[in-house]
Amino acid sequence: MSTVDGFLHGLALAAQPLNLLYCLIGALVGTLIGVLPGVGPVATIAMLLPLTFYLEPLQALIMLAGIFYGAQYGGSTTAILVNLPGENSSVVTCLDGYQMARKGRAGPALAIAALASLFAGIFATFFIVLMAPPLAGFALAFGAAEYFSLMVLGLIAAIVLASGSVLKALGMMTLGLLLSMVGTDVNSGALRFTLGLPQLMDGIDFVPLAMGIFAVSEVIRNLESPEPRETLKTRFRDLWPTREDFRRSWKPALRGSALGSILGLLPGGGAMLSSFAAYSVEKRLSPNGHLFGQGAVEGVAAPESANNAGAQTSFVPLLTLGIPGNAVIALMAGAMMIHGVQPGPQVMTNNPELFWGVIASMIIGNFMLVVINLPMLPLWVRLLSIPYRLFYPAILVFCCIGVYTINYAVFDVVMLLVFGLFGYILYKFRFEPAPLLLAFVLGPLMEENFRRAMMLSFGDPLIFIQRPISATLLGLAVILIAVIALPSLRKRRQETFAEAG
Amino acid sequence: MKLTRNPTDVLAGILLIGTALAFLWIGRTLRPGSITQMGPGYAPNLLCFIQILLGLGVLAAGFRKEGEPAETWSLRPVLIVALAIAVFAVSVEELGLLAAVCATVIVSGFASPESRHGQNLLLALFLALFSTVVFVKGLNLQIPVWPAIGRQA
Repeated sequence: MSTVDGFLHGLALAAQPLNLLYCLIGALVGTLIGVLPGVGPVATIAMLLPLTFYLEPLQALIMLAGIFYGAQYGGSTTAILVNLPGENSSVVTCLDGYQMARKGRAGPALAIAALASLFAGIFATFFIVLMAPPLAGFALAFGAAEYFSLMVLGLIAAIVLASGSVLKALGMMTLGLLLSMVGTDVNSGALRFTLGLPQLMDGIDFVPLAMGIFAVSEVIRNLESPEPRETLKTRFRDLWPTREDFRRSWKPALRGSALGSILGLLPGGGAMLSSFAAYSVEKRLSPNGHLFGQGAVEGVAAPESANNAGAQTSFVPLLTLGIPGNAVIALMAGAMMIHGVQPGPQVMTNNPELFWGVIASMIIGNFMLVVINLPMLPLWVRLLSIPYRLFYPAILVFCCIGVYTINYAVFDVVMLLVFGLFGYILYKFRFEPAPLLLAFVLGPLMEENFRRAMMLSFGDPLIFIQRPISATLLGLAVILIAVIALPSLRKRRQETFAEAG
Repeated sequence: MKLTRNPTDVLAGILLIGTALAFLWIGRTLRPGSITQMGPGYAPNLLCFIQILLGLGVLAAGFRKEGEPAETWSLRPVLIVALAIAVFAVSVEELGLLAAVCATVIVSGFASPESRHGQNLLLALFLALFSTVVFVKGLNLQIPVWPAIGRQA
């Protein structure tokens, strides 16, 4: 199937009524959780994961993808109106968006954010259409050694781009890999680390682990340090931006989309990195750079387009290489595996309707978000005044029900509890849990490919550097580690994350 | 005099080393095999050793570098949230979804000092009905709704 045919076919699939419905549900839920600070896409997708058992794989992925990019829209609403990032990726939008709102221009700021996101969504979709097939073709030539090296590179990149100590992030990676080895060893049939519990023979389930570490521990953290909230009184009559706003925004939106699309491809990249990069690039390039931080419309358009583009293109490594680049995408990988679809280059050949359907649904979903969300803004704003004390019991209940229904096993609820407490301890010790989740997902594949490569090379570890592609990938990983160890760059990285707050 | 300048990192290092040692000990009977024919214990042992090294690195950095003061732990939300999940685990199969959800919500209400008990009771009823309608009626999940005693076999 050619790329164009594939895409058109996907568009037809995504436009089927039921698929449209799930796209809409995903986009709305995404916006909702994006608006609410303290409820993130990782936790939400983890919560909804068990429910997707009952959907077709395409419907499930369309909905989950909608949650992810919908959250980018919702996050910017909170950032602009309340100066609180609803999502991490909206942190920079606070800077100029809130200043615009304070000057009485909340409407145009929200509209520009939404339109820039829409533009970026369309841009990123075409970017994926162009980039994905060649990447997948490239990956089909991979052997065991290449796959192993690629996963190493993915994990290392995720670590380098995570905030905080690199040593600790590496520790999270090894711990995630170790946790992934609990259960029956595929090669020998030996039981590993099951502590004599029959429930652990199939390994630790992905859902209670992800939900515990992300959703439950997040609830505890939020309860510990309640955030003060103050909603800006806004009138929405003057919603539409002026001609001047459009004239100033289109170039930043274009640059933001391009930058976000590229950064989204990086493992460990995605929405947050993209928005930061776009903001700082725009601050230098823009003739109004001196106005940044005082309510410059460019400072809203650039990061908002970049985070949406980055969110979307971060699907590419998953769908073409089988490598999840960030925590949300790792959950998507989990969702695909639940439905019996192994993420990787074969998705495009074996499940073309899934591949193109999801990508095409992104364009449709982005349109829905703008059309539906702009009129619904007052409602979203009102939602912000619902106190957290009414949310967290609901989150806990849905987590429990969700985990229980995977296998109808009380044991899984106990695992949720264990990993919830564990996630909280990790947070207290200033560990970044994302590398753990990534490593947990990649662990079985890594061990398998490592074993196979070693068998093929008769135990010679040099195989990883004798094969050119593998050597290049590992070389990149080494460079990444080296770069981050250099004092000057380390300082720069800390500054970037310090700005991120 | 303070023993360390960065207690968070010291504890983090101990956590990494401790979990690695635990994995080594639990997996002590797993056959490592050789590099060409890896047994089930090969990769885990390798990872444990790497993790111990990383833990030592974090530990050393914790003693050497100045850091933030230790985090304060607030036990109330931790214990109550844990208790709420435990209540759900214990009650869902015996007492059914309605009772389990109500109990979970009511217990979890104690985690936040801002909770109001009347409001929480309403929330509990609402969530119990909502989850029964959505999950059991709507999505047809096989969760018992009523207590086991009144249930037909």
